This record gives sequence, structure tokens and C-alpha cells, in this order.
Amino acid sequence: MIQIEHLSKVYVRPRHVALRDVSLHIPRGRVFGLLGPNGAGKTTLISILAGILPKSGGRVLVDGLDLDREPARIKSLIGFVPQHLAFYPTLTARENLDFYAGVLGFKGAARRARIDECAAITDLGKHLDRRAGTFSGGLKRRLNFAIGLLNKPALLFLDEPTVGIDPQSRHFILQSLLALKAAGMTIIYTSHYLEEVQQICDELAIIDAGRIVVQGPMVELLDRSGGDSLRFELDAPLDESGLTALSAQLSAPVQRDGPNAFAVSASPEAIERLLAYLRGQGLVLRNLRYGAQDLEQVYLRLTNAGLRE
Amino acid sequence: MKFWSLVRKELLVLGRDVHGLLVLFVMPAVFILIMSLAMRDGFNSERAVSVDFLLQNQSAERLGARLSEELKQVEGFRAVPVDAAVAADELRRQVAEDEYKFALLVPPDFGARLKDWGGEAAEPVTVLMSPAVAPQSRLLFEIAVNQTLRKLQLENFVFPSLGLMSLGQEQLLLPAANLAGEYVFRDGAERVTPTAVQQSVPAWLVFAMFFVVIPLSTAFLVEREEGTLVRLQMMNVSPATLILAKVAPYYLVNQIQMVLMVAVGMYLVPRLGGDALNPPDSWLGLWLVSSATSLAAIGFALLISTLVRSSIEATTLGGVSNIILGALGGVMVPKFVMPKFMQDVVTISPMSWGLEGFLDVFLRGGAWGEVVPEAGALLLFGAGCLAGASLLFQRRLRGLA
Repeated sequence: MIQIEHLSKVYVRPRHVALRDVSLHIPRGRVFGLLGPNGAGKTTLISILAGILPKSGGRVLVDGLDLDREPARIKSLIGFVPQHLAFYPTLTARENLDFYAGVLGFKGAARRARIDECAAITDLGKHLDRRAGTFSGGLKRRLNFAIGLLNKPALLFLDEPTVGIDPQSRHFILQSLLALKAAGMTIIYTSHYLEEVQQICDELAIIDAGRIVVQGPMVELLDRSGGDSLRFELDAPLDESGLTALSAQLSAPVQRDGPNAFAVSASPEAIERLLAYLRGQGLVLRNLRYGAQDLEQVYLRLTNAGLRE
Repeated sequence: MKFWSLVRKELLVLGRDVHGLLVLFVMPAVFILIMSLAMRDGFNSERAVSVDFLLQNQSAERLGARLSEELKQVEGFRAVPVDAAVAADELRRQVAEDEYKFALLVPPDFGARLKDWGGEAAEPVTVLMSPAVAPQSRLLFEIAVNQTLRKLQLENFVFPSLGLMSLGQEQLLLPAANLAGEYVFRDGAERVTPTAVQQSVPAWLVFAMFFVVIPLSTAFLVEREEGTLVRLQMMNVSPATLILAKVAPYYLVNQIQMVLMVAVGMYLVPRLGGDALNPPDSWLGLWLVSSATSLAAIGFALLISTLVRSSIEATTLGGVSNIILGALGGVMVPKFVMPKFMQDVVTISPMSWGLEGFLDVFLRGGAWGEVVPEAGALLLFGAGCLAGASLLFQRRLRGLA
């Protein structure tokens, strides 16, 4: 659906390299997660893909269309759900949808029908005639989402679509996205809620300082990043001699991963040996996890855990 | 389709902006009412201003009574008689506290003093003046009192001693008629005298038209900050369409303001006791100057909208710049009461150009061709602002993305 080759973006004033030699392939009909710390270049990348920000170099194809030659056609394929609530709070939900549908060129009965369809997808039907400013956080997010669907997009960009809403509304939006994916829509999803990304994304790219750090299918990425990882936590600290003895017992170097937490790459059989060692030393195990890391661990490891701002 | 959807949305949003509507429609109407009524007598040369003054006559002589009678005839002042028993200190207090601008005390020996006036004798009367009295009023009052005293002195002491009374008092003492000035209008058109309402309606209308800067820039900032503009860009709406879709609804708002404020001047002000606004000789001229003022105001508002970075900045910069332009443009202080150098300074304000254009059609009998210089200047100003706003807007959009 999207093919990006050697894309770069340099802001002139102040001079800042936002994207460096970014190459990505986003397959059709998938939910693609785009992650990265604040200022990493995600918004710049999405803005270029959407045709509202010129690139400095490289090539972008969307559905086979060259961004340099056919930006207007590309825009018509795209739906956008920004992080901000980009609608008018003094208008009703229906008036907001009607306004954007008019801007998109829908007329008469077709416009009304499309508004009803989007209201149905986002379950806004009984709230359509209320002013948007009176909505709860969840309803506002759903209206923001509905506006992004008005043009029946083949490609939907969502930028933090679930910020500040209750778990029910979040669950509803995520389920709706999965339904849209099932209907063939390609979705690019950015969020700092990594459990959401892990839950709904098929593919993933992590961007940091304008570069793609890692990309690929979610399952492969998690597996590659620690499929044989054994992590455990004790109820008391372990001194250096204890750590050396434990490493010998497990036939692999045990690393500290927190005050009383430890990590080691080992085969599943190592779990038995670990438990035997702890029993022998009179140590109490608080928790233990074996297998792939979760996305947050992968993300923090790849982008460094330190604060960026 | 896109354009009309944007215009319709703009009108819907503005229609629900209570504060914006108050600023655009209620504020100028209230200003027009207050200023037209409060300044009614000050602006109208045909309706003489009457200043009350205290008159205490302690003289039992015929001349004292005659003086009182003569002073009651003086145009522009009205004598308020005070009992002779009231202490002079009380009169001083009332004048010092500006309850009355003047007090005139006629002493018991007024006749003797008047006879010797000009020599060693004391002044024939005592005049007390409030510190707040305007120099022009003081001069007029002193001239009126002096003229009356001289007349009584000549009539009673000078002419009889010279044997001139046979000529007749009217010939000797009184002017045959008051000298009357003539107002001069362009092309010799006969017009009524300018009134407060004819100054207030154009002035506050221009001010209100420029006040679109507040709702326009605030709405624009919210759209920028909340990502609405980015969303519209992604819907293939060009920056030019976005800008023009702001111009059209606010042009309509400005024209509604013009109709309402003219209606207030023509129908509401006279009902409340003020003078009525005369309809313009040239409705085409009125539309021309109104349209040019509107486009200048909208261009200025869009420029402010693209310059600022927050709603607070928009309100502050828009409001303050409007008030300064209004003060400079002769809105708050009419240009004709300013000294010459200030009258030259005010011509830098586009509000002054708009005001002069409206005064052309409301006061000076100007045909549509006579507002062309002001309208042209306003259109140039508006076009310059609009060009600047468009450039900045495109840069901002790129910055937003």
C-alpha cells in the first residue's frame, strides 16, 4: 500500500534533520504501528505521507501513486484522525460531520447516508444532535474518529486516538479498527499506549532521531527481541557471589534487571534448575516469566530508556 | 461545494459565539446610543448649550434689577437667582464643588460702582468661577457680563451726560442684529448641521467593523491549535480557499453591522431623544465605503490571526491594536476637535479613512465618486494585509504539519 524509499526531511529554520534515509514498506490491509519517542519524526513522516508537508528527498508511493505527481489523488485515499480533537465544539456532532462531508464533496442524500454510516461505525447515532463540546472524552474521540472515516478511506492514519478516555471507549475504538482492517482498510497507528499497539498491530516500525530503528511483523519482532528470555524477581537481594553461582547453575550469565530482578537467556529447562537452586539457598521467588518480551520492553531497549526532554 | 461548506460552518460557529456577537453588534449599538445622546448638545451648533450660573442681587436699586433682567437674556447662559441672604461662602462652596460653573454677585452699591467703573472704584460685580470651567466658556461668560455692564453704564451714566439720548437707545446701544455664520457644504448642497449621531454612527461602525479581529483571530487560532486546519488540508482544501472562506462570512457580518448601526442612528436614537441620522445621499457610496472598510478590517484581522501564536495573544494584540487605531482614527475623539498636528497624525489610521468615507456620504453630501479615494486606500490596505496573511498562513501550515 505504501512504499517509502530513502525518505529525508530537513527543516530549514531552525535547521533540524527530522527524517534520515527512511525506507519502509506498509502492506495493504494491515494495521501498521509507528512508534517512537516524542520528536522522533513520526508526525513528520505522517505529514509527508499525507501530502501536507514537502519532503527533502526520497520517494513515496501510495497505492502505486507517486506522491510528487499525484498528491491530490493520494489525499483522497487517506482518512486522518489526529491526536487533537479537530472539530468544532459549538456545533452538534451532526453539523460537524455535515461540514466535513460537504468539504469532501458529498451532496444531498449521499451525504446524509455517509454521515449515518460513520455514526453507526462509531456508535454516535443517539448523540448526533448534541453539541460536541458537551460530549464526554470518549464521545469526543469517537466523533474525531467518525470524521476521519467520512471519505471511505483506503488508508487511515490515527495519531494517538485513545488519549484520555475510559477503558470501554478505548476497547470500542480498537475493536472498530480491527473491524475496519477486516474490511480491507490499511491503518497506520501511532500511540504511546504500547499494549494497544501490541494488541492490534500486525506490523511495526520504531523510529528514533529520524531513523527507523526496527521494522517488521509484530510477532517476529517480539520473538527476535527475546524469545528465550527468563526473567524473575526474588524477595531479597542477591550478592555478587550468589549471582556468579546462579549463572553457573543456569550455564548462562545472569544479568541484574532491577533491585531484586534478574534476566538471563536460557532454554526452558533452565527454569527447573533455577527453582532447585533457589530452594537450596532458601530464597523466595516472587515472580517468573519466560518467553518473548512485551512491546514496552522491546521499545525501551531499542530507544534507550532515558528521558528525551 | 468546499467553499460554501466552509462559509456555512463559519457562520454557524460565529452565530453561537455569544461573546463575539456582543462585541460585533451590541457594543457598537450601545456606544452609538450613549455617544449620540450624551454629546447631542455639544455637537449641535443649532441647539445652544445652556450653562446655569448663580445670580445673587444684593442691590435694592433699579439698576440691580435691570442687570438681572438683562443677564436673563444672554444666550447660552441661564441665571439661577439666589436669595440675597445666602452667605457668599455658600456660593463659593457651590462653585468650588462645580455645582455651578459661575456665580455673579451684585453688591448693594452696584449703581455707584457701575458709575465709576473704569476708574479707581471697585469692580461693579463679583464673578466666581469653577476651576473646571472651560476657557471658552469663561471667555463667553466674561464677554456677556462685560457687554451687559457696559450697556447699563453707557445707558445710565455716559449718554445722558453727553446729551446723546435723543438719538434713541436702539441706535446707540444695541446691535441691529446678531452676526450669523454660514455652514459651507461641498457643491453648495444645503445640509443640516452635523449632529452627534452623524459623528457617532460612522465612528463606532468603523470601530465595530475592525473588531471582527477578535472572533476571527480567536476562531482561527483554535482551528490551528486543534488540528482542524491540518485535517482540512488533508481533505484537499487549499490555503487560498481557507482564507477566502473566512473573508466571505465576515464581509456579510460587516454589512449586517452597517445596516443595523445605520438603523440604530435613524430610528432608535431619535426615539430616545437624540437627533436622527439623515439617510445618505448616495446609497452606492455608502455600500462602497462600507465594503472597502470591511475588506480592510478583515485583511487586518487575518494578518493578526496569522501573526499570533495563542488565543490570548490574539485577543490582546487584536484588541489593543484596534483601540489604538480607533483613538488615532478619530473614533473616540472626533477629528474636528483635534489640533491641526493631530489631525495630520490621524490620517495614518485606516479607521480614519473609513470614517472620512462615511462622513462623506452622511455629512458632506458626497456622491459615490467622492468616496473613491478613501475606498481605494482601504482596499489597498486590505489587499496588503491579505497578501501578508496568506504568506504567513502558508508558512504556519507547514509549521503545523
